[in-house]
Amino acid sequence: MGFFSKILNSFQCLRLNNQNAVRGYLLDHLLVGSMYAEQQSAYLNSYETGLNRSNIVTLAEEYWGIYNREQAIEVLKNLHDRNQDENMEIVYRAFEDRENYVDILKSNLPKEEGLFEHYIDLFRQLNNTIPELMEQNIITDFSQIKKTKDSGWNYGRGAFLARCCYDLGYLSENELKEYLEKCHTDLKKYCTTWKEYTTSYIFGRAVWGGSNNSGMIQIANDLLTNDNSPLKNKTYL
Amino acid sequence: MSTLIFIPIVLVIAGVVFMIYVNKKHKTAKGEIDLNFERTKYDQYKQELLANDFSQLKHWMKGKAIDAFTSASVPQSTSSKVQEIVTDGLKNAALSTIGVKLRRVETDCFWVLSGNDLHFFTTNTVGELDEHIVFDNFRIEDAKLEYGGVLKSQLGVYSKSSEEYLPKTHVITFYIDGSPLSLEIHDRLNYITAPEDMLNLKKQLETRAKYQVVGERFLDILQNKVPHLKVA
Repeated sequence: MGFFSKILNSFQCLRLNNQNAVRGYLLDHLLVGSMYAEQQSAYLNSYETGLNRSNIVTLAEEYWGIYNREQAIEVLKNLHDRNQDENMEIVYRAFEDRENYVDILKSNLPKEEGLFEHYIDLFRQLNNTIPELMEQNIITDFSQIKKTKDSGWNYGRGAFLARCCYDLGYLSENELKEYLEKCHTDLKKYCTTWKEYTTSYIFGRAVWGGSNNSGMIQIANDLLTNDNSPLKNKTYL
Repeated sequence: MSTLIFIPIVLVIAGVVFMIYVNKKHKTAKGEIDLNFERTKYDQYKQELLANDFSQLKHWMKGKAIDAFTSASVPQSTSSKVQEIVTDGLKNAALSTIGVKLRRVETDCFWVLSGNDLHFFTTNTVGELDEHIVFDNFRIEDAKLEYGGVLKSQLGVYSKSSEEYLPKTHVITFYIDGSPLSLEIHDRLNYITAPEDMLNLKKQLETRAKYQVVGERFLDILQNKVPHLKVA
């Protein structure tokens, strides 16, 4: 049943909750998770996701390892803190300075086995991803990404995952609202516009998953341009 | 007795005379080239080849510095392994990403050393860029180098007397998430005689010398850059 409902949902362009819609600034907070929500064919405009419970359980447990409230809080906090990763600043700096990238990475990244390689892999992903995104006209130059980083990807996943955790009873409505507000506030430190948010999300996903971002690009376009989208006519975060 | 019988005899004698003539000319032309002297013109030849015969490399590098370059190839063993990766599924995502770009073994390939990175280019059957793979400094530092002998794919095509013109190879093996990936570095640029130079032995040998002088320096420059990359 879950499988068929997911297929049916995927044919419905932009799912909106007409019974229990969130409005105003609270909707803005909610929309931080809109990219992930749209990926999952969930409601864009309500705290409840509108997804089949078994789908939410699969997403939370299999993809995120969340089986209870404690794990939910830990994962959500981790996603929230990712943009403060100072080592990523080093990776970005190395990417910009091809002449000296070896010195920058070797001198500044943590030496612990596994950790150093983790950031080298991210550096390589950056080298693959940025030219691709430029070819696809998603970005015009690296300075755009240097400003937004993968904030949209991190806060975006956190915001939608928090809604899933709310649906599963791991977070109260107040806790969810607080988390979404914090996501929105912190995302604004990196992204000024919703367009920057979607671009940052696409970038983050590309670094994580490699090529084939046409699906994400399509979702971003739908969210920004579809007449039914709550993001349409919203420019600034 | 018909005079027709003399035709094949004349042809055989003419053939032998022509071969003797060509061999003599080849020896003379070869004697005029002092490879050690040619090696002193490395910088000049490098610029000359990049401006003319291998100008595509500059285009492919999109303005990045070219510190050294030479011909390359994908060993049959690597190509077979890549086929296994594709057939068996993506067990090593990083290797698969690189590996699927290395399925073609018969077309021209090139190495370019640029700063801290090694660029590997493959071409299609008409010499256009097919794939571009970059091995960064960390991959090169982890790599292993060994002598690979005369390029095996070209053995049999040449006669024994022409063996001196065959590229000798070194095999560089990278470790992609623990899995080895081997590629060949040639000690010269791949030379194919241009139709207009077919009868101009002197020009052929001069061009070969330039291709060798530029290509053979690649490994030295690479080893200077990455000192631990000594031949195993």
